[in-house]
Amino acid sequence: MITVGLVGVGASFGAILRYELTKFIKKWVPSYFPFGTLIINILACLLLGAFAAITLENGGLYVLAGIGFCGGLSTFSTMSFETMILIQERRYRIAVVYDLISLIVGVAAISLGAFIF
Amino acid sequence: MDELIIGIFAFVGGISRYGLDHLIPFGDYFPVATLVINVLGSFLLALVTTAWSLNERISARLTLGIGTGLIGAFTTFSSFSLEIFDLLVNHHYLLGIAYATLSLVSGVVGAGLGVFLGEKLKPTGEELK
Repeated sequence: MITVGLVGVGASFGAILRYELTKFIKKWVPSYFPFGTLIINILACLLLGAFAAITLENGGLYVLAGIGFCGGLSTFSTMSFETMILIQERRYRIAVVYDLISLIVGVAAISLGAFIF
Repeated sequence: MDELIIGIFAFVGGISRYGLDHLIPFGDYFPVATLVINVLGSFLLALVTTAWSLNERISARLTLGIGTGLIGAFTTFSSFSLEIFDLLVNHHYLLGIAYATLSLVSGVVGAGLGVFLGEKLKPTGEELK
């Protein structure tokens, strides 16, 4: 039960940070390319790789920081929706590039995060 | 105020993800739970955003709470990437590529369905008057 609460608290802080970062990035890098979600998702992957390595996926810290915070910070639904909008606007190549960069750099960030710690 | 709403809804989104993750059995090396969560969330976010975009009776704050807070925290890109990393490290290369491709394609198809259904549910100009 406490574990569930830790996930919820972590997710709350992750989502609030995602909201603030999205506003900040949209203001400073105005573009139809979804840089905000990309940067936030990569950051969350870097942190999750580190947390997974530090805590070996065990214990309350991983549940709070890894599953809760990183899960709340990163978002898959917004990425899908943004890709869908790019496709609607017939920016097919950019849609593919967006998803591929997210995927490749995301997995690389996980390994980098795990490697550093 | 927006932050508080997002935080409360994200709490629910996060524990829903955690709960579903434990309810859905892990397939043979295949992270079924995250796939289901991410595709369902992609569909719901597109549906809610499209259907409520012009509806003044549903406040922008509630849309922010449900969309950015609940659904945003429900779906996860970091666990998705970690699962692919785990599959690759354990030499399940094909499974890793299949999982990534299936997730990304189903996510976009789910979002497309959400937009399609959302357009149908969206109140017309007449109804809003």
